[in-house]
Amino acid sequence: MLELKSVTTTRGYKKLFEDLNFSLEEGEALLVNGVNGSGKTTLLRILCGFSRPDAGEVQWANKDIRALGHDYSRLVNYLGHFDALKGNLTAEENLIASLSVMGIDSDVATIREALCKQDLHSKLSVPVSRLSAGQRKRVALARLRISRERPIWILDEPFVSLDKSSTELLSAALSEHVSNGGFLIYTTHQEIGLDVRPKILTIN
Amino acid sequence: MSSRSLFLAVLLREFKISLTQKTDIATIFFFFLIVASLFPFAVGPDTGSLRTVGPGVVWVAALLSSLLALHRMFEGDFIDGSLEQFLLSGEPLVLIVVSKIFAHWLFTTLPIVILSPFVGMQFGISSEASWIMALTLLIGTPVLSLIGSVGAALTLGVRSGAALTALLILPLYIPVLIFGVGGTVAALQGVETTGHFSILLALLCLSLALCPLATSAALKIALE
Amino acid sequence: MTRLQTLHLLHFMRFWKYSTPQNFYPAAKKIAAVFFVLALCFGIPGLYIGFFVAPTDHQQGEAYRIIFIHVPAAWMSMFIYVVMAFWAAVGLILNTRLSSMLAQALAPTGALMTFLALWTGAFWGRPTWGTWWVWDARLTSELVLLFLYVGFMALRASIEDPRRADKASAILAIVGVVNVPIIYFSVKWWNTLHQGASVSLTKAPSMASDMLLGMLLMALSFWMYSIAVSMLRVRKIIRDRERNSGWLNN
Repeated sequence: MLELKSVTTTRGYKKLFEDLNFSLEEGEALLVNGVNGSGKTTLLRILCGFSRPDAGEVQWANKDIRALGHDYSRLVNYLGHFDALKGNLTAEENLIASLSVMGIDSDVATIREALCKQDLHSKLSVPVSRLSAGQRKRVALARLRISRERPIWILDEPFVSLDKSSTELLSAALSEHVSNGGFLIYTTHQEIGLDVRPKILTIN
Repeated sequence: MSSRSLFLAVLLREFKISLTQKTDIATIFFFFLIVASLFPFAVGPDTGSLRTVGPGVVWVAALLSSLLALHRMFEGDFIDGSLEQFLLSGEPLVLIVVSKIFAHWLFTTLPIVILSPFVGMQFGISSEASWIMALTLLIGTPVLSLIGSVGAALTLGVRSGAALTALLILPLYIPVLIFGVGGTVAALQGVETTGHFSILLALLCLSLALCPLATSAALKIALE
Repeated sequence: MTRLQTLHLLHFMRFWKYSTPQNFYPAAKKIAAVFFVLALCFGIPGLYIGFFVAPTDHQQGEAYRIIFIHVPAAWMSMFIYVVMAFWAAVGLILNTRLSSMLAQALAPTGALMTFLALWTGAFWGRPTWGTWWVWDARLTSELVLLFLYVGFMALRASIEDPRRADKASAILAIVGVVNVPIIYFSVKWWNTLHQGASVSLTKAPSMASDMLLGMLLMALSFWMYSIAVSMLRVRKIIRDRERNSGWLNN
């Protein structure tokens, strides 16, 4: 179980949220709502363990994630605003490079398959800088899929730049992850339908 | 994942990225040559005076080139989000950092070290002393990269980054500079150099032990 | 030691009650007042001894009296750096705001002491050695220390988020403190290599006990002054950083 206990945080001089509480069980999804600048990204980054809240704790299986350290990090699959792709390398090279550093064993065949599943079979040898925003997003999503054993998916605006068919593909993947007992925390400005109705957390 | 395979995985990644950034690396290399070449214009072409300033000039030029190249170490990964993924990899950040620093030194600074004896000879330094100078650079420039990595990590995403990084780490470069040039001058005078090399090696060991820790901490702070 | 154990230890040291900016704010004013008075108590006799009581040096004449400012300032510049690094480290490790604010407050005073040491060093050197500057080991190390202070303050100033500034500058200060002895010994070695056995600028003429007493008093005075001024500065920093917290409006 993933829990937020009395989390308070400021950014610069502005208090973003105070005394936030929620809990998430296996097979549950959480949609974080709020206007731009309200602190959604900050909350997600706290859940990833990048930032420390001013007060309160994030707990995984009743242990503070800061105490768990790498044991928690290894469970997180994160996609933020930046796709972590090197412009001069091809999609394939990018995934080989980043997955090897993450300790996720992946051969070229698996990577190619994941990229083809994202409809990128014609773009395998193209430097990523020449792909459109949507295509880059799909490369990042391919990486997400390859590391899908990681149970906690934290996605910040994953649907941005995606066309209709890619959006449906992603929704299906998210629904599948949740119904397999995964955890999902995401933000989006669009109307997205998942098989499982998500819990909603609004920050104001 | 074993330490060795992580180290190699990061090294390989940096190598592939560096292959696509050959121009950047060449620019730093030529910067070294240009800076060293400025001094004869400033000091005069007289071989005697050039020989006196030579070791210092080559070392300072190498030092400044190392400084200039620092932004390549973490900035790219910081901007595109790769650094965040490193943090979430579950692998020790310290090891990733050591590998990145080594890769940075290998691809950016080693060419300068290899070229340095020839620049030394341009300044009238004897060939034996030039090779000693190259050896001091071989041991000293990794120390510069290690100390520099702390500065680079602290100033990620900060305005006036390059000038600020220089201000922060140039004072810390002074001991390496003193003993690097000291060793070269001793060689020029035909005096014992083992003392200088011992200290350079000691500085290398110390910075290898401490700097990656400081750099990792600084990277985490930059990502908060 | 776990964080909890460290906190308990600090509690028993009775600092804990004052360890929030809000509680420390009024205390700082009182501390400042007390230490300004102490600074005068040490400073006035110190200056008197330095400029009236201590005998004229047969080699350097009256000019050497500036040593009573120069040496205490140099001592303080190094001492403050260590204290600043200590509080910065505490702020980083225990994640406390006030410790980092203290480090932030100490930096300008430390830099001032360093500048004063360099300035008075030049004034001492001029009549004695004929030049405004010598690359003496101590003076050169002071110069490097000034750069370290300036670097600390510049890094702080460049980072907008105050907590990130706290932590980043803490790392810089810790790295600096480890390097200071290394830099000092390197510069000393470099200096002896190039100047041989030449007399160091800071090798004072053989000390009469009067002179030593005078320097000690001045050192204590500078120390008290530094604390007092830092307390006032930390109040300003607290006002600045806690302005949205609400308690300041009383």
